[in-house]
Amino acid sequence: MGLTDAIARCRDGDRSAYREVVLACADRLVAILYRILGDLEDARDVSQEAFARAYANLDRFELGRPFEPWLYRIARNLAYNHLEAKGRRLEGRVPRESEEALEAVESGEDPGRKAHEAEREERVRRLLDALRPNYREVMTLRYLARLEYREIADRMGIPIGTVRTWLRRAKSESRALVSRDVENEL
Amino acid sequence: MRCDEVRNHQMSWVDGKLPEPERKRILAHLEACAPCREAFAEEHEWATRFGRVREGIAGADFIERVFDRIDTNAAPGRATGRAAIAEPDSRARHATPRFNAPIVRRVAAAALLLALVTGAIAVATGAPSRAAPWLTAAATSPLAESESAAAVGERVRSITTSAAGLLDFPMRAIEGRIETIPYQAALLPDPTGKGMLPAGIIVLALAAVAILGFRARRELIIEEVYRS
Repeated sequence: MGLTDAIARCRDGDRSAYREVVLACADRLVAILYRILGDLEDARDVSQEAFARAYANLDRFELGRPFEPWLYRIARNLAYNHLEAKGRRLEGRVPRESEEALEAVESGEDPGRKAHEAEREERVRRLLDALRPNYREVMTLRYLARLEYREIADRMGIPIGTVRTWLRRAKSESRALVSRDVENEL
Repeated sequence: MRCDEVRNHQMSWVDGKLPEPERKRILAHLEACAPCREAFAEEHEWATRFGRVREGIAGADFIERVFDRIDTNAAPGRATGRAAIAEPDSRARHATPRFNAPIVRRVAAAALLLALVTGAIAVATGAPSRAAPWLTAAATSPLAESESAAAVGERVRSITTSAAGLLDFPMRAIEGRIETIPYQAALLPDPTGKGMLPAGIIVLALAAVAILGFRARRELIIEEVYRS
């Protein structure tokens, strides 16, 4: 209701109402794009552009429908184009330290917990890096954004059966990667 | 509650976002269903592994930057930012894959419906089907009457036991070299006695194969679009 009201005010010319919209969705969108793009600055940059484009096209948004899936579809188009423009392929990319984890450590007041967070982040980062982008996206929407199958299908524009199939395959590939990592460490 | 209904609420369950009545119904199902318990535990484990969205990850000046970008984009001959690389025509490539699933579903449904109706009419009336004349032409064939059922059955078995025979048989039937059809009785029970039940089953099988083929093709197309 809050978001719908804010968007309605934006459409009536109250530009400042868009601050509420951005505030409500920004962290979530950046976190998802960070997982897809693998770079926090890129994720912020693409998210900002997505919000700007959404604002420019607010008159096309159907009031009463959820705003976030609509925003997400704009953002993911930008994200995939961004990946393509950079010629980035996740397969074969060298895993690196998670920027989010590093930031968390630098800004944290509880070093023990933050270090644990950083380690977890790093593991997730390496795991996602090894997956192809569509599998990474579906995993992120499921386990980070905590969306149900139907919501994921709606955001990605694919059938619900495909969501289930991709999740199953992504998890299977992830398990294989984890066990390979464990073997390498032994 | 069915398993698929329950599993459509896994993330809301993990996040504790379900209303109390729904939560109780799912809990009751989980107490009785071991596979769903395992599935829920697995989802919980993955969600834990991924963690939560970190508050403030967008950055302190995020909102200001969005408004800067709004102003920049609105300006004539706007300069594009690092992320502003998605022009409208290229953007379309990452939209929903261009595969018209509703049409395929309708065609498959129509084929199934046709098969069911044809089969039902044939069973009800005992009349030969016009949809498969090569299967039913022999119902009126003099040869069918002159040949003993055992001899026909034997002949048909010899034809259909090899893959080549299976492929060859319809062609020969079409060419009129085989004038009889009681072979169906040797392959499948047919209460109509007119060869209609096997014909209906064959059509149904073909429709099922077509549906599975379309589904597999759709998966491949979507996968391909996302890979590229």
